[in-house]
Amino acid sequence: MNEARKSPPKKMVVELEVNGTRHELLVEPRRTLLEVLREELGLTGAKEGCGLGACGTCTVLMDGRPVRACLTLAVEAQGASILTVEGLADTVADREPGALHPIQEAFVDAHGVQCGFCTPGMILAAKALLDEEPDPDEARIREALGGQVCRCTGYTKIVEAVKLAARRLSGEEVKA
Amino acid sequence: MLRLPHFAVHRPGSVAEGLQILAAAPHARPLAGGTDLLVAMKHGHHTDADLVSLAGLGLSGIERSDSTLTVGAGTSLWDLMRRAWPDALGVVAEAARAVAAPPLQSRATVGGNVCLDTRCWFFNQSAFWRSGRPACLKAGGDRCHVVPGGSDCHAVSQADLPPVLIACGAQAEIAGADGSRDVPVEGLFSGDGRRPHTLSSAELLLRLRIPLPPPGAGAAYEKLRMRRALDFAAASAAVYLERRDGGCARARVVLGGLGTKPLRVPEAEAALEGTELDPRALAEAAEAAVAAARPVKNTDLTPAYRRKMAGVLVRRAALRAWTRAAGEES
Ligand SMILES: Cc1cc2nc3c(=O)[nH]c(=O)nc-3n(C[C@H](O)[C@H](O)[C@H](O)COP(=O)(O)OP(=O)(O)OC[C@H]3O[C@@H](n4cnc5c(N)ncnc54)[C@H](O)[C@@H]3O)c2cc1C
Ligand code: SF4
Ligand code: FES
Ligand code: FES
Repeated sequence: MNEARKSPPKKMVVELEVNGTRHELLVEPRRTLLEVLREELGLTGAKEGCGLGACGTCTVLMDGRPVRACLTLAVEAQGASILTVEGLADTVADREPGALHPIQEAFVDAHGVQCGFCTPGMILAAKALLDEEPDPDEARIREALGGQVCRCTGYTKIVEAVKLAARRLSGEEVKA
Repeated sequence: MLRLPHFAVHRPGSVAEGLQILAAAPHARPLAGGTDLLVAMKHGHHTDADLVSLAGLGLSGIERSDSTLTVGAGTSLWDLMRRAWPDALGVVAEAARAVAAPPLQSRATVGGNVCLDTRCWFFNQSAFWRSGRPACLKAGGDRCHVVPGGSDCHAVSQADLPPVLIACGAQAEIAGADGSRDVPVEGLFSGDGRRPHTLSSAELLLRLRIPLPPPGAGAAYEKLRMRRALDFAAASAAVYLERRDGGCARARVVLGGLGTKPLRVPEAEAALEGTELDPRALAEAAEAAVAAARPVKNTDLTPAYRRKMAGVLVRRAALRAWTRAAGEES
């Protein structure tokens, strides 16, 4: 048995920027980003489905890239900028109070949400895709969402929602 | 929440410092993207390990010289896929793209993929699930649940990059207390499901060096899995070919997901070399792959089907590699 294990290892200082706010936290080295977001910062948008990387509902953006928060140690996110679904709408410039992000609106309008458990991860995976590729074809959308499991809707409406979001984000006016 | 066991995380700032920590702490394990290691730890494996983060070692990046592409072990699969590759090496990005899904590719590293632990239905389960029967060989016990009575562990090498790296003739730079050495990627795999790599616990994989192929080279990777995302290879094949004067001057054929290590198939290579990849040569190569495959019942899909697919995948990969070698994108 490892000697260090007789007492829990010392906590470590982690600096994170979450949804635009800087935090300095003292965390156990074993804590995942998901635990810190949910249990230290009270941001429960990212969820734990499997805790093992296999379902995608914990997906958040770390420096713009989608990551599994359940498999990312908080201390490995040192200095990173994290975006969760709670902060998504605030990334829109001059947003009206209470207004959603266009990707969120598209999920509502295209009926891409049922129980909603997978939705935060789906939306953030979609954001990462659309930030990199504003006009993806269906194959690319399916690849980008390939790691996000939904047990309710089937994927057709979710894919439609991302297509709708892409059109709206490129300036097209598409009614619900 | 599924919690991790307690561990310390060391954050060395250089390779030398990282090696020192690994040498001093026999229980320490390198942590790259964590997408394999942390899953195993949540399942109650390696619960006595402290972790050595490789994030500060400067091991990320791809460099090109006249003869070689050097890929740092810390390079993420995400970056690897987005890099413009010479045509004949596009297969490396192809294999990276077949790993898991984008939110794992973003953190998963090349080094972690090469050092991916072998996998098995009985080992990759929660501690609770496993507690229903005695520990197996790979978990420190005295028996195998897949091949009862045997003394070997048949856990499968299912990583996607190794077959491709071997097919492309890549070398690995390994560093330990006594300095660093280059070994062919093929030489990194032991064939023992329990300890599948030849690296010692005090060594690190630093870089991979892929020789730039001559004109007329082409390669392709085929992967069989249940779903097109997230699933590991139930079987896979990488084929690298060099085409000269219309014929196949050189072939390398490697299987993944069909044994305890990536399997090079010299008989399949011999069947293709000196031919124009006519149906007969392809059939012989496929037959050799079927004969070389060592599937057992410890992963998705039946061993008989996976064995049969070894031939199909080799044929498909060979044909795509051939077309690519001819300069046409397939
Ligand atoms: C849902 C899911 C699906 C997956 N699907 C696939 C798949 O389809 N194909 C596939 O190949 N993999 C798959 N994986 C496994 C894993 O994500 C990848 O293999 C990944 O590339 C591992 O890299 P990492 O950096 O995250 O490794 P880590 O987990 O950090 O490390 C893996 C192992 O390698 C060791 N290690 C890491 N770097 C070094 C180094 N430089 N020197 C020495 N040892 C080192 C670690 O100590 C550890 O034992 C999947 C994982 C999950 C959770
Ligand atoms: S092949 Fe046997 S010994 Fe190896 S992990 Fe599976 S059950 Fe355990
Ligand atoms: S909770 Fe992270 S992938 Fe399922
Ligand atoms: S909406 Fe229920 S899991 Fe996707």
